[in-house]
Amino acid sequence: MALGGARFRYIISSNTLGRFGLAMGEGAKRILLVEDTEVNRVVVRRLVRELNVSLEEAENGQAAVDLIRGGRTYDLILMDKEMPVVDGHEATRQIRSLGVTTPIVALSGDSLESDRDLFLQAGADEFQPKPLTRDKLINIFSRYGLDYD
Amino acid sequence: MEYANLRRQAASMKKNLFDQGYLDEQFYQLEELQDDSSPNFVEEVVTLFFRDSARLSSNIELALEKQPQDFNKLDIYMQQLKGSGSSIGASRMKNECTTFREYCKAENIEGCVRSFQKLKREHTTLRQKLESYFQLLRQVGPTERATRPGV
Repeated sequence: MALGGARFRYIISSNTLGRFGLAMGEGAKRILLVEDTEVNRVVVRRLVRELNVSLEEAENGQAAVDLIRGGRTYDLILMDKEMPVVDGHEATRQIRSLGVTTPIVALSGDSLESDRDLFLQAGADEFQPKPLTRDKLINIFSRYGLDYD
Repeated sequence: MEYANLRRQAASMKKNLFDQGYLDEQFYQLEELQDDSSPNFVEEVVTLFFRDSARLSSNIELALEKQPQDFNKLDIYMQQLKGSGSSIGASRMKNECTTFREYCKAENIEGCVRSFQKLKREHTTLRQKLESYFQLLRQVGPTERATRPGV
């Protein structure tokens, strides 16, 4: 999909088999991963495979905001920091300005206080340094009440 | 006997990669995600990383040649490279990415160029070592699982 010369892509993970949330059974929690780097998306996709969650992906902040503006709802958003078009800070701010209260966990390869503070000011609920591991992901899901087994 | 030798070689190769600082704990995390349904997961992710990192490296090279340099763009490219490198446990590369970004913040182009040359060498070396490792693993077969030293 193109808009004003910029290109946006969002991906429905193979976890969902093309139907939102149904492949993992009724009540499967819906996670939005906002991450531009394919390697990182592939790893998270594999991390959630055994967990009873449905994963959708957006390649940048604008794609994530568009999904939400379009009516998509999620139980948790994992938001990368550095992304083209719209970065994680701005996407978080825009999502919050839409009145969306879904927990947003900010992800960054840097563990800078300034990054953390900017994300929290934008409306993120917490900040996690990358890379995500299975244990970190399970802890995140537990904190936000996501049943994953 | 041959199989046992190959297994020992693979284990030794992997241990060296860790001992020499090329890889860190994250690589083990990837191995733990590999199973019968994703038997080549680690190699696939690593291959994807080297494809992406080659592209990013070209972008960085072009950006370094531009006048005047856009240090903000250079920093963004390098952060992407660092991020994907972290996901496969590419420890030395990750550290050199950090060094490069410090030169970017200081707008020190000579430092950036030196650091980038070192990064390219680390990238090439890691790719060669991992290619050899995976080639050996293919000979060993699918029974090789994630093992940390001393386990």
